[in-house]
Amino acid sequence: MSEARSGTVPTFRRHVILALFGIVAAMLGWRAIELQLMTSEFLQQHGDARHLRDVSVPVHRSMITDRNGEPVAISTPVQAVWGVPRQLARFRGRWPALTAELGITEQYLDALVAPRLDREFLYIKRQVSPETAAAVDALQIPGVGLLEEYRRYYPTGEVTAHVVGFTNVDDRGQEGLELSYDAQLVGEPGMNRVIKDRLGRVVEEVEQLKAAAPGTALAISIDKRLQYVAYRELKAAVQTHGARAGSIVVMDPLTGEVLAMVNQPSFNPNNRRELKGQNYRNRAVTDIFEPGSTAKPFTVAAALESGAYSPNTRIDTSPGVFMVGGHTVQDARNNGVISVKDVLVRSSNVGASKIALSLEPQLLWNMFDRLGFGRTAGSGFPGEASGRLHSFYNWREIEQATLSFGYGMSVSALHLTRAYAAIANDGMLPEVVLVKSAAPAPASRAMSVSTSRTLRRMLRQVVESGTGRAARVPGYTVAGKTGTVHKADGQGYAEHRYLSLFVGMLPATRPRLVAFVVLDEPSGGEYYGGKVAAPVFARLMHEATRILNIPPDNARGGDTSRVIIGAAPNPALAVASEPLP
Amino acid sequence: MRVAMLLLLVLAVMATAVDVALTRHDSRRMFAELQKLRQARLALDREWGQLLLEQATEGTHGRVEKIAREQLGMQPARPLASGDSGQ
Repeated sequence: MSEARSGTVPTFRRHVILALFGIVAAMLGWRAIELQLMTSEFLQQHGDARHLRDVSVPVHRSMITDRNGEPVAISTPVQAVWGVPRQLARFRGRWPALTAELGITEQYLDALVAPRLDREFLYIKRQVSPETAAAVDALQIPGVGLLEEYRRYYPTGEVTAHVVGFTNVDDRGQEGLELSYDAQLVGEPGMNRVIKDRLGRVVEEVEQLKAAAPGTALAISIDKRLQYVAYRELKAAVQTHGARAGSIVVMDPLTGEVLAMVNQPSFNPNNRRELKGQNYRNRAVTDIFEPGSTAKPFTVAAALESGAYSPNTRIDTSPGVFMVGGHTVQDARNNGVISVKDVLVRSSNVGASKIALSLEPQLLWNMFDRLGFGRTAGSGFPGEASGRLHSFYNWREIEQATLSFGYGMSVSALHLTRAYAAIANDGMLPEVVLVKSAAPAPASRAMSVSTSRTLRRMLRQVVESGTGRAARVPGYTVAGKTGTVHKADGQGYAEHRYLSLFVGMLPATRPRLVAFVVLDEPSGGEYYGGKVAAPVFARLMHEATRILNIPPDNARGGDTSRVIIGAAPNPALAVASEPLP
Repeated sequence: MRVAMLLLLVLAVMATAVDVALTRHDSRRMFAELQKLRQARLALDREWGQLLLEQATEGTHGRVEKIAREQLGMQPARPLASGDSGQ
């Protein structure tokens, strides 16, 4: 027996222990296989869930600039104050401090919190300034936090408000070009997969799931300086003449770019607290009206193109009244026998009607159609009006006649500016462009080169010796047309409600600018286009030529009153200064 | 000979293991620096935006005109004469 105690372990015990080891080893081996092969995915997932996070890479809304790169809309970071409703409800004692800082009442906060107790998140106040946010942060109220967001600022304020438009609180465009080009400006946030450490700091960037695509800045065609001058002059004129509203559009006739577009009444897009809906409209693009006398040049253009008329063709307008199918067409006075040119200079309705009625309806209509009336000008601006131009198929004689002096059709300020740009651009009607573009916009031919030049010569006379004398700009030749339009209400034409219009181009020899001015219902006693709108044009163009460095082309100063005073008084000229409807 | 080879391989494995740890550490450090620079860029970008806004607001034509007229007594430029040479 002593041999058994000193040395070898009994065989049975050895086998049992080995077997036990073997079983444990097998179990471990099995566990290893199980972990590595079978449940590995599940475990990996959970491991990742502990410290892998998807983080979004934010982008903010891109800037809008004018044609010279000056900012007109910029997004700037601000903070939003948010809270967890349940915790807010628990810490009512801290509410006075919070509400005092944010400028809200406790009742307001209560109304916010009470219905949302089951939610995790609630905006208390959005777009607060960094100072206010810092103060709220300093209060250290449990359940209240700060979230970064962006706020849109418009440094040019009411001057560019109608064109640029504005965004809503979520920084998406609501009106104007902010709306039209929202997709381009917004950009898309990116997404990154990262590993965060215990403290929430990003330790490693595992993968870029989606690249951040920042928006592209938008350069609009507007020139901020011209826009300001136009706005200042329009605002002053609207106040002086007691008008309800007004618009100015300035266009480059060669490229179709809108250099200035202003309206009254306007609004401050930075502070839209007490806003009246009617102030938001970009009237120059959305409001339509009958163009009146400003359409006469188009009738004359159709006449010239037909070959049957020249500027000196005589038209008998006596006795100043003309019956068309039971309706009366009237001039302010009996002009007798006048040339086609004088029909424009003296603005004769009878003359225009007689010219129009002698033309084929289709011929007349085609001219108006080629000038872009009756359809949208294609500016891409939301709410753009298309106006009305009735098809010639159903024209009665009186409709053909009234169309010749601009009644029975509706146009917007943009339409009219564009049509005169065709006259300025040697007969080519430009596409309206609201954003600065590298390539010149395509143009379509509305009239021949010679017709447009003849027309410009006649329109120059309107300004030098006709109804548009107040539109003269010293040092430059100006061509243009006045209009004084009776406004129509439901039952016909209102007694003393007018639109005062002037549209012109400068220099008349090779125009660089076309501008249109309208004042709606001037109530100060004067209402003729030549007295109310033409001077606004002159003041605006005087500044514009200086801003844009347009060289003068009329060295004698363009002040042709000296020439007239020096000559023997001409009764025709003296009378021509009296504007006609 | 075989023992020498084995020893060499063991040493190589240990060297690469240490290298992995060092590289990992370097990578984390550089990433932290990258994040800091990104934050700095973001902050500068914001400051640029705010300065641009400030410049645009202070340089608003209306404001400049008001200051020029009221505080500095200036007038808008006018042509010396209306261009006529006495005719």
